Amino acid sequence: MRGTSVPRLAPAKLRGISGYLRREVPKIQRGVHYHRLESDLSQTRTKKILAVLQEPEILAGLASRPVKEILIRRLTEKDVSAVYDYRAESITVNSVRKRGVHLGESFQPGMTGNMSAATNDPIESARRALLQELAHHLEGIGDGGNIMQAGFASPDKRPITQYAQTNWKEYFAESFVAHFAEPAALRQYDPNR
Amino acid sequence: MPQPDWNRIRDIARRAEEIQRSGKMDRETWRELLSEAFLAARERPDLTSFLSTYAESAWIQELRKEELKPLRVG
Repeated sequence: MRGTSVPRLAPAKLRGISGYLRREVPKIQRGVHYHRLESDLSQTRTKKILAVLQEPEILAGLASRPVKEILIRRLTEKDVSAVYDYRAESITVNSVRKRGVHLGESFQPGMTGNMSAATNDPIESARRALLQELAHHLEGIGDGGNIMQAGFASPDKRPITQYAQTNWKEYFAESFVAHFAEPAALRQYDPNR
Repeated sequence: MPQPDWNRIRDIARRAEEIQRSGKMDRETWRELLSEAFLAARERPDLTSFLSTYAESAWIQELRKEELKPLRVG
């Protein structure tokens, strides 16, 4: 600002303040947030997919309940393309994302089929599929299941996708993906989220 | 993208829940529901994942054996 003079503090005076200014970037860690990772994609692509988990809320949930394994691998098209094994606490995501099958849908709240298809980017589709399955893993934390069932039973709910209408678990999982992928749309569309 | 049969998918979800609650879910029933869901999903396999909650680990392991590529540990 013209006409004002702000004295520059000596570095010694600023010591200790950087910890308050710097936002620590959370890192997903093997042994803390998951126990085993296998991928048939390159390391770069695998890291891009896993980066979707690097959110403080997600890492806190995973720290309290780590996923046993995350598998990113090619699956046969005739079967599920992403799956959470509740008993093994294992997430499998199909590394092959085909347009018209796994992605390529436009996003229209309440009308779109599912969140992982509502993108044109194969990596983003895989990231969303990973988030969707992770949501099922997080159902088991605390009293979450009862809260989610009550949310699905509410007449005020407006499921963000068609798939979110399937049952309370998918309602939560699709809302979970939308919370990170389309937060403004979720806030506006579903007051019950 | 092909439009799934949403009414049928919700009907399958409702039946799966009933079968599970009655204690009658087994591998054959689950695979039948999975096939039915795949047809209803009109070749969009992501839309069948709601059935994973009813599966034994062994049934999912069986699906994995159908995978095509060897793995690289990351």
